[in-house]
Amino acid sequence: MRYRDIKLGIIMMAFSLFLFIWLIPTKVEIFALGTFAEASLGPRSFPYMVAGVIGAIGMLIAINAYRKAGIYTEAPPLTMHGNIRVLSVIVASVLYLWLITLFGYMVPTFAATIGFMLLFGERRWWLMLTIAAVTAVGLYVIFGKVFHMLMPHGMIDLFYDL
Amino acid sequence: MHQLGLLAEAFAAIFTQPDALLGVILGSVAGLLLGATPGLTAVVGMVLLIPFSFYMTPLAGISMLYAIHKSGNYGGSIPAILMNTPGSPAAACTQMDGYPLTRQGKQGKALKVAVTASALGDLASDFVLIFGTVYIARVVYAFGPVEMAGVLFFSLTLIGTITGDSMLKGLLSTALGLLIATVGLDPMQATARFSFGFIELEKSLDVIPVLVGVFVVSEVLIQAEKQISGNADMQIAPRSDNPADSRLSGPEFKSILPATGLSYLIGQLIGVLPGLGGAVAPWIAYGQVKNFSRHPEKFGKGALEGIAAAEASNNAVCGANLMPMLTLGVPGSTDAAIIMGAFLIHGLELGPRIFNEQAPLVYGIFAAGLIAIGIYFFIGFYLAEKIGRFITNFPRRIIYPIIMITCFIGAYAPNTSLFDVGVMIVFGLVGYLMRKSKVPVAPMIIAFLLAYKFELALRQALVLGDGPLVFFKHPICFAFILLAVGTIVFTAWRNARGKIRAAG
Repeated sequence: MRYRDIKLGIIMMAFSLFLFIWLIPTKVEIFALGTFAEASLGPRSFPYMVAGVIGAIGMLIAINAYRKAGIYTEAPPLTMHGNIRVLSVIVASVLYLWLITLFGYMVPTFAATIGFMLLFGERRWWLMLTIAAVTAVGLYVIFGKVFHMLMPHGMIDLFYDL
Repeated sequence: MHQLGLLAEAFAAIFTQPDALLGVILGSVAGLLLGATPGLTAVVGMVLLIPFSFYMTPLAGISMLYAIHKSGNYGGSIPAILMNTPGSPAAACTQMDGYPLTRQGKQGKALKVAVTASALGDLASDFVLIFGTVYIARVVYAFGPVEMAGVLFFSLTLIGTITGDSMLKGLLSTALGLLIATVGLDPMQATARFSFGFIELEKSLDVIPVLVGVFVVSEVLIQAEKQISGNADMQIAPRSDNPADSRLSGPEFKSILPATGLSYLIGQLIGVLPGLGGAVAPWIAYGQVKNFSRHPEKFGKGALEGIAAAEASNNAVCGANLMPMLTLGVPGSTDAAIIMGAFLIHGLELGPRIFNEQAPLVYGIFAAGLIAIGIYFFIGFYLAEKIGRFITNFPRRIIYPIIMITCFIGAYAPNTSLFDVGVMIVFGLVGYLMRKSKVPVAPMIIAFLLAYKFELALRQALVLGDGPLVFFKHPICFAFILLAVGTIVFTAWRNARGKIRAAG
């Protein structure tokens, strides 16, 4: 945990510098330079204050951890398998999102439910197919029909007129 | 009393509006089930159902979430007692005496004590909420931007300092929440900040995708990392053959009343302070009840007072959390922050004016809370053990994928925007990384909700006054600044003393 904290502190300090040097000056619009906007009360004032706080706290965390000032308990080690499973869920989520833009809600949701269950270790196909169908249709009925929400539609949406 | 009349009208409104009544019933049942499932909590339940509340009337939607908050807080005691696995952090104290009783076959008695103490603590807390909050609101009504800046500065500092194991990490989380909230338009000049050319970001990040990502998706990622292999760790011991071991007798009920009363007071006081939440109150209450008990040696071995102490304070926090939220717009806990999010998505501003402008809604929510107490008490008193056994049989390998899919639709629902779903995934990863680094996520969310108000108050105060000195010229603001500094100094000193003792 100590080394993770040192890394965390350094990352936060670097992030704070990044905010000060590039992100805030380029991504926070102001009306005009040298006026009220550039002074302490403009749109950049609060982000600068917060960036300063983040940098200061990051520095304190890193120093604290470096000096072993904290009572550190060993964090559970990050396993390769665990990292792969987490990454798999994230990739599956992004893939699901992309598929919705192509095929709409129903088919990707059915497939994604099966995909997530496989990632979580389920292997009974009859159960997965049933749960996937019930979940996809059930959420559609609740949001699409009961709440009259416009469900996401894709470019090749077989269920467009449902 | 004026409040009684408003409360009576509120009850009538709920019982004559089917969606409001359904919302309360659904929230009570869902909260109980979600709170009773280890790995899920009332917070997860509230966040999952907040998109549903978007399509309901404000009374129905917010009542549903409040009902989840109450029944979920109690629900965490069921697995704590039956399986030695708390359903929520606040229920960890309940298992100290609850599980030993289960091993003796007396789980029925333990569960009845838990629900009785929960309901009594909850009722007393709601009584103070209903009849006392309006007086606090009258005082806060006079606050200007300077005072609000001071109050919010203290609240943010307190939340960051006390939440989690590390003061610095808690404050870091708070600062990150403030930073994330700056995405969007500047509150005074309406210029774009951190929009990166995306029109969706110009109107700021929506609260629901952020909530869903940070609380629910991160939890799903944590569970995925653990590789759930089954429910073998959730088996329940067999019940005793003696029927008296499954009942709560009259003398036993009387014996837990003093512990319940003391614990309620502790929960009420702690719940009012922003940031402390429900996890701290049970431990303090348990310790105090044990100190005053005639039989402290029984604690940890199945003392009914121990269960009552934990549960009464745990649920007393529920009503108390809403007091700073309604009067100041400062949520007292993560659960209150989610309820505050529901107010925001319905376009309702929290603060003292809400008692004038939305009195029927506020009292409707109070009435919903009282109904929810009745529902979870009835279900818990007669069906808690059956609920526990049901949960042991329901595979978690199926629950989490369903939750994940529901998150996608939930994040999409408020603006029918797939961009929001992407935001949810990003914040799911952010929440996961924060939790792996032991950086608490609750301060980030509370700061995210308070940031707009805080920045506006801060900058208005600086414009109205002579620069930063204005904060020291107003006594109320100065007092809150001193409290904030004092909190940081005290916490740092206490941590340093703990380290010296550990080293010695």
